[in-house]
Amino acid sequence: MNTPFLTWLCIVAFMLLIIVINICASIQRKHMKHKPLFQIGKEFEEFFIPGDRTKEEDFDDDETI
Amino acid sequence: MTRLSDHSKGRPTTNELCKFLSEYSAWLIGCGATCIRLEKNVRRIAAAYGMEVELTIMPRHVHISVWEMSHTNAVTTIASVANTPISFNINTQLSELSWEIADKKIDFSDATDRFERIITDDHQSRWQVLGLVTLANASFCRLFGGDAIAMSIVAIATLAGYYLKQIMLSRNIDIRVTVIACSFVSAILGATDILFAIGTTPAIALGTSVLYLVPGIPFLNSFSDMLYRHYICAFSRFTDAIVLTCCLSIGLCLGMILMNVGMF
Repeated sequence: MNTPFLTWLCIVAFMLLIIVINICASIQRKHMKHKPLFQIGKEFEEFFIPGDRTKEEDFDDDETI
Repeated sequence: MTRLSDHSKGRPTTNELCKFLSEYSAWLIGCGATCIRLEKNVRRIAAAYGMEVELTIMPRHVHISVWEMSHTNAVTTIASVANTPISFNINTQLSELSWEIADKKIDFSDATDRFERIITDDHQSRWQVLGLVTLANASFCRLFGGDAIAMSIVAIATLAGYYLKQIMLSRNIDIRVTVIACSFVSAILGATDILFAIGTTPAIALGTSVLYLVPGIPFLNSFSDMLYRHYICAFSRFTDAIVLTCCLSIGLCLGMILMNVGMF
């Protein structure tokens, strides 16, 4: 297989891939709220023990530990 | 950039007018107006309110001083040129606004409201633009003598290249990198005619496939600025246009080398 044909094929495949990805992304955006498959959460979002503060801003500087 | 307050009525103070004119100038020059148009519009607005104005137009900033006719109470502001795509729609509407102010059809508070609407309501459909650019470039191919097959190939190459440009610019990728990538993709697709020998004008198809990336407006504006002796802006716009043309050439040459097209 010669270089020009291989290059042409790669570019066509790349463009088709971009178009398909964008179409899928736009359909996904239209039909459901975007939720990533993996995301980094905070500890208090994963484990909640009654009595924990719900917001970081609630921290009181005067409180002694 | 701050938005204008809407408390002013009728004739503005020098402060209000200076603030309005600085934002007006930042947007007018940002959306692709020439320096002479900016000068004329700003002087027209200031004269309508019985004030005098002096401008220093730099490539990235506009420096405006507004005086009362009595030369008391001068106000000076510097505004950064709005970072917005070239828009003839905004350009035209801002010029119309200056005429309406000059003809006393609207008062100052209406003018500020109208200005806000002009800069916020300019929404163009990306699909419409994509379609029109594709048609325009295919027409260019025909103008240069390309056959129907060449026109179709140029249309597809432009469609792909411009679509890629929209995606890359929406992700805030540098314009120079974007132009190199788009011209490369369009050159490769434009060489389809040469690769498969399906038409009679393959060289025209390849040559016209990247024409949509030519920075025509910066070139024209730099020439206009030079004619009116705004040499700094003229040189700046010309340099911008040359850099983009070099990027276009890099992508095109890379594509031609990889497709084993002559010339090298």
